[in-house]
Amino acid sequence: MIELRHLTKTYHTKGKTITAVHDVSFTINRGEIFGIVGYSGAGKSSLLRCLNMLEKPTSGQVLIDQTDLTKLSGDQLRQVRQSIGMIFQHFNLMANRTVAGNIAYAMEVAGKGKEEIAARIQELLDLVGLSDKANAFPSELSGGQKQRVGIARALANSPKVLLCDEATSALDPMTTSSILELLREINRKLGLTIVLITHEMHVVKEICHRVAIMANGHVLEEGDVYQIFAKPRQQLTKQFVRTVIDVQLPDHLLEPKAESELVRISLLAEQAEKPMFEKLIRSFQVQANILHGKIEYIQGRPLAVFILELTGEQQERLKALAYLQQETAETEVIPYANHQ
Amino acid sequence: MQIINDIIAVIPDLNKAFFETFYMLSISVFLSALLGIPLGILLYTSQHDLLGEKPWLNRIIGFVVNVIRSTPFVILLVALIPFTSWIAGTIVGPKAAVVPLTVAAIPFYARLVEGSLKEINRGVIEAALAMGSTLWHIIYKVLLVEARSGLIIGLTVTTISLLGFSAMAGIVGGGGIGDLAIRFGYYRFDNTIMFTTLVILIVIVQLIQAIGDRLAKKLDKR
Repeated sequence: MIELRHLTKTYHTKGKTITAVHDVSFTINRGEIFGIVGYSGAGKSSLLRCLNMLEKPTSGQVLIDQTDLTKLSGDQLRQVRQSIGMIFQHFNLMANRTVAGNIAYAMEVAGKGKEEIAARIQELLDLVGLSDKANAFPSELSGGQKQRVGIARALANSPKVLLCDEATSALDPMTTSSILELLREINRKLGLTIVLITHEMHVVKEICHRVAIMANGHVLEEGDVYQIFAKPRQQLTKQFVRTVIDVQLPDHLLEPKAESELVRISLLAEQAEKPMFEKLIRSFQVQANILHGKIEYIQGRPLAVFILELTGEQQERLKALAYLQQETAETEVIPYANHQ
Repeated sequence: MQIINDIIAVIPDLNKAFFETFYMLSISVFLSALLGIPLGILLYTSQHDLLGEKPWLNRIIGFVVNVIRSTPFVILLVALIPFTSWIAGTIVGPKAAVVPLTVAAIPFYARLVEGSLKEINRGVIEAALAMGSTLWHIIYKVLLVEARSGLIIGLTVTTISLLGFSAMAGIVGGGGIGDLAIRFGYYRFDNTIMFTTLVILIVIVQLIQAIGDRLAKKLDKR
């Protein structure tokens, strides 16, 4: 549904050239929630703005339903924008218009009639759970409520796509969850394609189907969310994944010990069901002691991380490690703490 | 008692002067709002990267605005005499005074308009563009609505400045309360008239300011 082809965006400021987005290509499927993750300055905000031409790409193409947005005239582009909703980190509501007035604006721009607008506003307010706030001004609302108005406004013209620019980054964890829940509901109910950018892997874990990891304008890695969490290939991806499912040992357990090794293993859904530990202890002359562990459910599928302490002769430990490598998604020896 | 009699004696003059002031102010304030708002919008949009910035246009308008604003009002008054004569058909009286007052007030108010537009959050404009707004939608449904209380405050400031300028318009026989204060009170050392007119001017200024503040506050939902 959305296809980016060799998208590049460069800025020229004060004699310097900054490449915010560097030759990015990927496809977003209809009806999916697609996340773009990266630290600030990674270029994800520029990339998102290229999807509705708030930023004009320097080169490359943006295709939405086979229409190349980079080739459209001003009028055509405005038409297309009415079918692409957008919500923002700081909500960007008009302070001097009521909740109803803010939602109405989107439809006024689209040339809808007064009665149609009034009926639609009520429908939208019901959808986002703000039925009683039609006449409130944004300054009277909480952050979460403001974002709900933002969502209602973005959905006013029944768009095909919803772009979310760090939509939950200014909200507290509780409110974040409720907004994410709302987005998921909209995605399911309306079959809306959602593209979101975030620096929180937690958000990706909660609602995304697929994700792209960005750094320095490049997409480093892209794929199914469960796959990315289970088998992150890039160092940065691993860092992001660990913000959600990391397990940390207390210092005293990191003290070097004779004849033993600390091993971090991660297990995927199917692997978690096998009697792996039993086989490990039976087949090799090692002791396996579970020091830490955590199971996260991503898209309803478990992903487990354990830290084991393997004790035994080196020969046997190596065999055990080889076995683990075979049977787990990832096996990694954790170095003991170095004392200087 | 003498003071009261003196004041009663100048009531007809005061009455005339009051209506002259009212005449000059109402027309010049109306015209400077009518022309100053579009000019301020032009100053703002021509330097806004999201609203099709045109640096050359901004520089030209900015320069003209600055030239008028740096010219002392008395000089402007005299320099504009041919223009005033062409527009108003006369170069004396309140009608003639309206022309230089308006010319001085338009760039003044335009800068104040520009200032209040600059306070609008960039994100709001971005959101409006993302919804497929035209520039015209953004101007009259977003900019003017979001900046409305600032526009009122600016117009209040402009009105009060015009009241001050209108005293100088006495030079072209503009009349008005300020002119009365200068000619009768100041030049003829008539303290009664001077202080009476001064008190009236203070009351008018307070009143304009109070109305402006109140309206601005009522319209401000931030």
